Amino acid sequence: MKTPKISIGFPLLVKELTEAAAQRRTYLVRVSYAMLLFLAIVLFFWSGQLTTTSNPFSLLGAGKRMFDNIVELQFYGIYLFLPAMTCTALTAEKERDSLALLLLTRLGPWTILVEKLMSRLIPMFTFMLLSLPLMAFAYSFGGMQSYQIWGAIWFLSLTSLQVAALCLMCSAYCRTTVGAYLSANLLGLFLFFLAPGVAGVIFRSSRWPATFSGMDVYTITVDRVGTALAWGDLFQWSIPLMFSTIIFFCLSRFFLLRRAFAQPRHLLRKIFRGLDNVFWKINSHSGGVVLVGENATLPEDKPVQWREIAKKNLSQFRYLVRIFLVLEFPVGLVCIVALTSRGVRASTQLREVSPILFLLWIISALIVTVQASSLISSERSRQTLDVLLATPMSGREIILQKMHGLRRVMWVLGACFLTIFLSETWWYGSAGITPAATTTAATAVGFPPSYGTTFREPFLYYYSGARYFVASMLSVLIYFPLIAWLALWIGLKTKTQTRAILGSLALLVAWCGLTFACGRSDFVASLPVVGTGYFDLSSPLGMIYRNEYNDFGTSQGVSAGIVRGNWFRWLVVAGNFACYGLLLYLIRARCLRDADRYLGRRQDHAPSARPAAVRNAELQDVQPVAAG
Amino acid sequence: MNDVFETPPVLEVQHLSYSFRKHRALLDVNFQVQPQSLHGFVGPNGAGKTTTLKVICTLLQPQAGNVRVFGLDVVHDVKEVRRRIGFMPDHFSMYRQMTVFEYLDFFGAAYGLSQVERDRIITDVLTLTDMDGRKDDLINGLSRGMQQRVSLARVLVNDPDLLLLDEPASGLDPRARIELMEILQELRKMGKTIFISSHILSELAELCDSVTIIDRGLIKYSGPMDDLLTDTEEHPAYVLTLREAVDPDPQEQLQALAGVLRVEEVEGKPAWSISFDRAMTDTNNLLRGVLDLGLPVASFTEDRKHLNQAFMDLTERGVRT
Repeated sequence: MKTPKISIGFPLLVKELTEAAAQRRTYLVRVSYAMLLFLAIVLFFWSGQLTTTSNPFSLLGAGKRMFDNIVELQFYGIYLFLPAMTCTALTAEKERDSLALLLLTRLGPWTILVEKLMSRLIPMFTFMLLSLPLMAFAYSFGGMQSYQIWGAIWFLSLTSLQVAALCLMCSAYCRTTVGAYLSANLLGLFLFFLAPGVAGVIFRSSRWPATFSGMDVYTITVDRVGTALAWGDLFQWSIPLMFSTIIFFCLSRFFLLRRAFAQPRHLLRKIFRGLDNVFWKINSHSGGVVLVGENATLPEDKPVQWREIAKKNLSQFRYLVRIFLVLEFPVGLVCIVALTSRGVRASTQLREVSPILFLLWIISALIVTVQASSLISSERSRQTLDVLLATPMSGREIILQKMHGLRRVMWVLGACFLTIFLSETWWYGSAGITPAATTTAATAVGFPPSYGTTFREPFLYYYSGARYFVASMLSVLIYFPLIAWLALWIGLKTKTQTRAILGSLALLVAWCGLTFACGRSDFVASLPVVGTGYFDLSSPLGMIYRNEYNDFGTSQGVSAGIVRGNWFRWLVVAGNFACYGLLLYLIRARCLRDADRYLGRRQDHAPSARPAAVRNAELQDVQPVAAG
Repeated sequence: MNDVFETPPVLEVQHLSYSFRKHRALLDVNFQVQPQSLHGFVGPNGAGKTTTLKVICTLLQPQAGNVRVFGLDVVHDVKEVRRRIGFMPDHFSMYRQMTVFEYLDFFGAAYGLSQVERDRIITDVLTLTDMDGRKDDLINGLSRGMQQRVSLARVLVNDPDLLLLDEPASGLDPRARIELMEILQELRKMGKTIFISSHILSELAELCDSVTIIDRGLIKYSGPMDDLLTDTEEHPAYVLTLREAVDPDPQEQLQALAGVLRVEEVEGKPAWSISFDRAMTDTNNLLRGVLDLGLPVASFTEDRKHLNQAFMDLTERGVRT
């Protein structure tokens, strides 16, 4: 009998890396990573080290701090980029029905998982190597110790493994890439940050609960200690990281076969239908009380709009009421508690409400972005767009009717915002904070009287309830449609729903988060250009932040003759929203004008074809291709 | 040529060319589809069938040439063309969370029909496609064959005069396929013109009046199905089948008959293909001559080529690069 020849190789790993090398996206992501890393380091170094002293000798030994900054950014890079890279590992195979073929080969489940994991970790490690020149730069300042370097390598590698294993587990469980990406981020947020934080509060310890997060462990064991940790201790600190990695990996194996052929299901729809059943059962006992009835309507003259409203979960009236209640209840509760609390009243600022406002913005922006980017891309992914395009409806009509359904969601979210805006406006109005009262207010919260006139405390200058309310309302009325139209635009230009959602989210995070961070950095503020202090307004988050904290700068003036008084603040608000309004108009006009082209059919007003003889002569030379 | 070809064509494609960047999909494509006919559109994978269909249904703009539907230019009279055609792509295109009726009503509204018209037409098309008992079912729960019926019902919801069907029978079981073909024949009887792209050649051969064969973006044949499947007018061929084998072999006797050009034995059964010169004899005389030989004749039929054979003869081997 012939003995089978044993060959050692990594066919799946080779295939994955070859595929990645052929994709333009790989290089775009790598360049983006490098650009973000270098930009962030410049901002860090500028504000943290290079501008704090005029004596160059005092910089000697600053390498340690710089190195820590680089390592910290690498951790953020892992948390930000690795989920996006790893969540596709198995869901991509499921989406193109090729996972069954893989399982039928001689590759075992463990081999598949290991090779998939390696195929994502190798690019991530190459990303991390991009920081070598920066580390060399930091090293030249002195102060770095070898234990720091080894510690960083150890914990960065462990964190990469841990995050990749978590994402692989989500990829094995979920049916779609979008589901895997969202669940990996939510799970990661909960397991690495929220749960340890809550445990720390409960057990009154700031150390051990943080050990599931590689970044925290590095900070505790390497960064803050200042001396080399024994290998035994280092290993001991690493046990939770390694343990969680093994658990995630084993769960990946568990889900790989059980969820290989899972049918797609809509979680929200399932929850809503479960609730419907509960309410129907209650109704049978309570005599059939129906608060929000369901009308079995049919489309009248706007079929796409009808479908968006009647058939989408996030647009049906009764479901919107549920979403409103889920969001409004905690918002209202916090507002009521804040308004009735004595401690808050004494501080002249509704400090409890602001985090809720930012959280609501994050949730709302996520919902609007995902919904808007899916409007067209989901039709494309489900191959339902062609038949719609073959009808006499114009592309403009289709898009406008699609957006109509989304408008309902935005109104519901806007109502939750209104609760916060009215609470804050009422509070500040009733507190009677005027420029004249700032000194009194400062004294009341325990600061010296001079605080009210000299310190950059936002609420003590030119507070205007009217301006706060107007700016807040404008932020909702302009930013929501802006986010929606921008996401729709990306959805129109991309071929798949996954790309549309991830691309829109990436753009939103980059625009709101990174631009805001850059705008408020000392580096930008130190540039010799007038108005750099307001660069953060290039991010939509800029105005939300400034308005919430009344942070329009000190009253010393922008330049000679211009004082940042109340009218100046009105001007900033008006200018900001005029610019964003114009941007919204331009994006909307672009989407509607080129709607047919974006949707994948030719424009109604397209010019007629070129003469056959001329065109055919040109086409004689081109290569034939599969097209049918 | 048949007389029917003298009537103005429903669909007229002239010198149509289309390319995707540097790759040619269609080059100087010409063909016509006559009213109330069932026209097959055949070609290997990647031949340019779907591209042609997309140009006809106004989703793609011709880069060269003209396409006219009922005399309307697909470039200038877009909306009118869209109103008069029904397009079924090679995938199901279903909104799975809708009921069958809602789905059809949705597209009725998208075509701008009033509610009264929609109710009437939907009832009719559901009856035609035998789906009236399932109109309140969710599409998600329907079988593939049922979904294809719903898809066909959708195509009919705006009462189009020209149906453009891209691989309508692909993936269906034999029963569903036969039933679909029966519905198409019924539609043709109702006066619809059907342009059908398909890979199932045997069914097309029985169903279609005319056919266009396309390969690598070039038209290889376009015209009546009969002309493609029968030999030339001058040298027709007939197959003589005997009830049993006879001794001696009658091939030499058959060859000796007046006007016979060639006799070939059909492999595996007692049958011979006889081609003759129409100038010297005709079918009746040939049959009389065969009977005079005293052979036990089982059948004497026209020797038609199979569409498969014609297709293989006209298209090139190998895949496009």
